[in-house]
Amino acid sequence: MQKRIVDKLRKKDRKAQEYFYRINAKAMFLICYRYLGNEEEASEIMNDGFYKVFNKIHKFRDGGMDGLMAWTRKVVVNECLQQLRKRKQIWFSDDEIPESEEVSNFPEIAMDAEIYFNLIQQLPESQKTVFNLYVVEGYTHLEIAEALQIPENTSRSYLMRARNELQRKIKKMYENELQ
Amino acid sequence: MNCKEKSKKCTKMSYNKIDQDIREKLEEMKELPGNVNWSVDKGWEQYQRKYRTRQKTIVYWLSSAAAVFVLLLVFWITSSKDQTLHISAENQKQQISLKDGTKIWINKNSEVTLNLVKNIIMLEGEVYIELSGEKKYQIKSPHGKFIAKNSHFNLESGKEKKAAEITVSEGKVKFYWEEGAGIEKTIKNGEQARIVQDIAVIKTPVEDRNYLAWKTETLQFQNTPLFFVTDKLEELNNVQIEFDNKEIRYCRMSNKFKSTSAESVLKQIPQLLNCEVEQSGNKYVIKGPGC
Repeated sequence: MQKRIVDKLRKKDRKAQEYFYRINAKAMFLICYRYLGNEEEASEIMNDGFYKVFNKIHKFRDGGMDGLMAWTRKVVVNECLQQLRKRKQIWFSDDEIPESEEVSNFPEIAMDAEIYFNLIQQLPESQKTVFNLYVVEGYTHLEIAEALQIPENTSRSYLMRARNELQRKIKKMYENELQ
Repeated sequence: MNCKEKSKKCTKMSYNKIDQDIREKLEEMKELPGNVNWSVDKGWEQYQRKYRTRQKTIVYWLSSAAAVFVLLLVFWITSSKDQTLHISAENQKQQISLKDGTKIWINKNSEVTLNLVKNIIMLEGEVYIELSGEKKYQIKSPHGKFIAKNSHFNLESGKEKKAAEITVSEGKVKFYWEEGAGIEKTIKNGEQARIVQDIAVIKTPVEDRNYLAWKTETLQFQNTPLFFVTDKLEELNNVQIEFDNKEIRYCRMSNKFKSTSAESVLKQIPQLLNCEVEQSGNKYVIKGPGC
């Protein structure tokens, strides 16, 4: 069934495209929304990503549906990064913060996904981008450095800043409960 | 908050564990945040609106490009056809002047097809050509290919003729047995050549001073034996000329005739030589002691 869908997508079958869109759009929208923080923009950029996937599917050679979904995610993330670069809202300063090897104390509280989501949204743009790429997408610092055209150490620094900021926000949020 | 105090609900976690926790949570997130109005239906609708229009636009531009291409092709074909000229001179010789100054005279019963884009002249019959400018022309004939530029020559070649004849009066002409064979002969100013199909090219200095008589409509002889004159008249006219006395064949004569017609020339010969001419249809007989 899944292979048939991929085959149909390769043939630019409209119904297969709609099916593939409908089963993946929500997850892709959430990714874009996490990066861009704007609903309309996230929708538009995600659609651009789907358009690229449907029109460049001949470049996808791994075959299966899982592979195609992973590839789609990568395409969509790249679209978001491009959009951020267009907006020129990612700004990385040169003053690098030395990476702390010390593991911070982290409140052991079970949090809902939406809370994580909203907290990440509140991070500054540059920290949020690096955090999303490293923690959520699983990029290495080298890959982030290439994607954002920044030094690898800058990626490390901004990840650390993001972690600290996130930790501070979580602690603040649960301050009353933990006291 | 002070997490170092044991009573507080704090623990130390590795980043890997935290990252994994966050990743899993976000992956599991099924619902959109409450403040988001977007839906899959809306997204698909937007997609359709944006990319169907784009595809229509692409199709429109591709169709337009295809239409322009077809128009250009038609124009090219039409203009290419316009650059080809076919002239058949059946009962009357013809003359063509080309834009570059080249002039072509076509003898009666001859055909010429000109490709003015590729500078090719296809010949069946006899032509006199005066090529001008620096353009190289190819003259394709049943006996082979000739290439020349900026030169003057007379060429006779036909499918039914065993040999082609070329006489060069200015410049030079290269002859190729067949395309790509690499065998060539050059016929220069003052030379003429007889090309026997697939056998030989026989080059000689110009012997026949009247090789252009069909074009100039004049004949000029200088101390020429009479049989040379009659042979030329037979060649130019559909007539048969005989002698009742062999001696008279070798009588020499000098004169310029302003016509190539056998009747006209033969009428004047008795005034130049001691002889008479009798006509019977297309047959003439020259009688008398001669010189």
